[in-house]
Amino acid sequence: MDIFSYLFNNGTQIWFLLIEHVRLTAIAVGMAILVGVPLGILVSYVRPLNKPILGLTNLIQAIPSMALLGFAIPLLGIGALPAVVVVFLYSLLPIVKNTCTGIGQISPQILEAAVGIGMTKFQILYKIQLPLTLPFLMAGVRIASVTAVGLMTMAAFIGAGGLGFLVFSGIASLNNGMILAGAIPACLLALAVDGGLSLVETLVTPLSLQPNALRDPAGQRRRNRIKKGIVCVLSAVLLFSMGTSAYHSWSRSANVIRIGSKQFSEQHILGNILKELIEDNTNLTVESHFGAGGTQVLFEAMQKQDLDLYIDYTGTVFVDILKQPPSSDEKTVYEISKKEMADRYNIQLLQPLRFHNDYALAVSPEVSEKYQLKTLSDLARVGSQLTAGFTLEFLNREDGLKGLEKAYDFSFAHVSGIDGANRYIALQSGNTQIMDAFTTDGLLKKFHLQLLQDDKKFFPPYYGVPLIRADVLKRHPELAALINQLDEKLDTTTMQELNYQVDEEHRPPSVVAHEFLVQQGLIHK
Amino acid sequence: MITLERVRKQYGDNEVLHSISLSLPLGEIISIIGRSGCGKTTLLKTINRLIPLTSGKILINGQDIQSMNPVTLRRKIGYVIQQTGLFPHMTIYENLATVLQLQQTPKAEYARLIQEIVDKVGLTQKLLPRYPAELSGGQQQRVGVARALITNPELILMDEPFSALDPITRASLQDEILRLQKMLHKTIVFVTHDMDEAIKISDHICLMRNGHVETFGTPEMILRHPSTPYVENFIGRHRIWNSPEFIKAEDIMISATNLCYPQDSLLRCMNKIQNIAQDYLIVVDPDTNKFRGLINVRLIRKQKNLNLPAVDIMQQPVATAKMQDSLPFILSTVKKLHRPYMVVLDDQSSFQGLITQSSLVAALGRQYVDETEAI
Repeated sequence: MDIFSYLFNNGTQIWFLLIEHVRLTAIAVGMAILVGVPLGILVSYVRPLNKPILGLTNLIQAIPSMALLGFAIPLLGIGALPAVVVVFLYSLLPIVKNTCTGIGQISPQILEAAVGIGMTKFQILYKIQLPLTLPFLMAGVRIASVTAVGLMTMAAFIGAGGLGFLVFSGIASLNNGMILAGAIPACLLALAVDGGLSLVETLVTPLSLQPNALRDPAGQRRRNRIKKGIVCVLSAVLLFSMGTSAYHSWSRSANVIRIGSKQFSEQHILGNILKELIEDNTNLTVESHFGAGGTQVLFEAMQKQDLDLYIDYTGTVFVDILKQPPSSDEKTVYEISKKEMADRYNIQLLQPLRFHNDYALAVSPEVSEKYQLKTLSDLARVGSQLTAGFTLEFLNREDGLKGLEKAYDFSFAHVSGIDGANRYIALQSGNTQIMDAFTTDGLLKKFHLQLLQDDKKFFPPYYGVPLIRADVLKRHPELAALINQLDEKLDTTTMQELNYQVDEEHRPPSVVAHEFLVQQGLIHK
Repeated sequence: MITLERVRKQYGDNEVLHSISLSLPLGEIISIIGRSGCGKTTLLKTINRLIPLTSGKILINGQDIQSMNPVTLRRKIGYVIQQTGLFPHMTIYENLATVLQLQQTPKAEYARLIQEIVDKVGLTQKLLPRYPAELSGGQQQRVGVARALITNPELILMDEPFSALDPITRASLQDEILRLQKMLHKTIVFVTHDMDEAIKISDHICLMRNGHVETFGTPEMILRHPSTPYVENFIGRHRIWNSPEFIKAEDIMISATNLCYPQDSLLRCMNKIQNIAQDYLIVVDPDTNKFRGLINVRLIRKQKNLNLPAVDIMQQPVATAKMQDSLPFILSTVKKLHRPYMVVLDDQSSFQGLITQSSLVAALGRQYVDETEAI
């Protein structure tokens, strides 16, 4: 089985991601409690605030999580912070609402007695209202936490890590074992959180409010002691593991280079290559933000100074970031990009790498044969009979579908947006006949797909190019020479081979990267 | 003394308390009674400032409560409410300790004070670690009372404390309050809608109607001399039969026509007896109306000389009753002495009237006869 071998080989990584997942979730939910409970109390005291505040938290919950993550990037950059903030916002509603409901359900008789015996408002709050609200509050925290565990998997989209990293990477590389290695622990974690918090819920519910407790109060007290023990052990384990991992990340934060990557396998490999190369040859430590959602996410992060270095592609920089019309003149593209990026965004383009990973359209051998497809001009003839499955990025880029249809003057019968490796599945199953691909994709080899020749030279060349923030390069000028060493060693064939190892052989990108570096003598271990 | 001066409470246009002035004597149980919506609970809650006054003043021992911090004020006043208001998430011990904590009682004394009060209100120690929901309604309300008493306040407010209890439990708690009051002599303001309860436990009753005080007085006064038709109607005409101790000799005696003076001759007495168709005469002093004795036909017949004055042969030991003696007392005396009649005297031993078997029957029958008349 995929999943078992994956779990077996990557136990440490999964464990680390799980802890990271728990930590991010706990911080987000913890903040939501700190903010939500006082807000709930405020709302229950100041009735006019009820509607606007509950309405607002409702509204936040109604925004699709992906959209909220997208909004968070320009404001907060990438990584843990925006993810925590987004999950925090989602967790607010159940906590605020349940606190408010809990306070509202307390019998007015009890409150009157409390005032009558001479309690101050504050005493009533913490001696009467809060304890009697706790069961409701905990129910809210429980809902919020379980939701947050699920939501946090989305956070990998903006490079925050956590178990979602495995899910996204698994989808990108069509590695079911990897998807399950992320999804199953996430699922178990949600169940564990639910179970643990339900224990806490009974513990904080006064015996007298538990319908079954009073039939056997002594037994219930005994059971509660056992539950208390379990909860104590669980929270000790949680705190310890979070503490060590927090210490870990803190101790590393002294001299750090933050490296990013996109979601697909090649990017993971490149990210890992940069990471090992730098860690082995300098005294810098690397903080990785691998698997982020795309150029826009990473570029925003660079501008927010959340990210120092990642590898993009010349054509992408030229068209996507600088909004230039697509061009296939590689020299001009690089020169203009280098100058503009430095001038406008203070980002340095290092020397482009040898390999290029261009856009290409791929078809299955059967389709190729049936329609006699060799070139894109051939495709233009029959395009109106074919269904295409393209990545969302390809659909929206000037050097993607839009320009292509213009350049070759045709259009497809039907176009669907399918991200990641699922396009291969769609093509394989015959739902689509044509897809976009990167020339280095390992999956092309796996599925024996045929690339169509770009006979009009429409697609610009996409050479891998390291982007580094100018101020970081100034601080660590040695990085330029170090990274430029990769140039010769990383040609298109090598890249394809490395991708194949990850995509087809399901080997972890970090291992593939490591072997490559050792083979090339770039690291000393 | 708790003095209410022109106390008014208004919610918008709705005036719930119309300028109420009252003086509540210390060391007494004072019931505030009336139909729902009459403002009785509102009035009670103005005393511990749970409800702020619209205008007017309330003084406790001369001190205006408006000038006191409401929290400090409430800590000095015991408060018992209908549904007990015990805190469901605390054990009985914790419920009681909470009040002590508010008073900043040293922690070392908690155990002793709680034990004392629990004994006092007739609960057992083994209830202390339990939660309110584990107790019966009566036990819960005993805890409620204990909570009000534990800090030994001079003034205790009770807002329909026993209304939710079954009649037997209610009666036993009323007895408990009376027993405690004999020991503690607190000032207790007690809101109730149950007239029997008010009559049973109160020293004074304040009957309210639509935000006014309709009448204020002792239970006896209110029962025997309802000041207005509303009061009479409220207490019910037969209510007094639930409290026969408030029916006095003067209420059931009849005036007598069979009188004679000590110096009247027996002959004259004999004549009188025959005229009024009675078999005895009551001997009274002509000036002071002072009771002297009785003579009857049997005594006169024994005498040869009918010129003797009545004073010489009159019978001395007779059954007498004071004006204020209650009906149960009279009935037991009648039963004990086997006398067909009793003479009712005032404090100066002046003759006031007679209670005969027929007048007793008539008086006792009134509770039934009146009823049929009412129909």
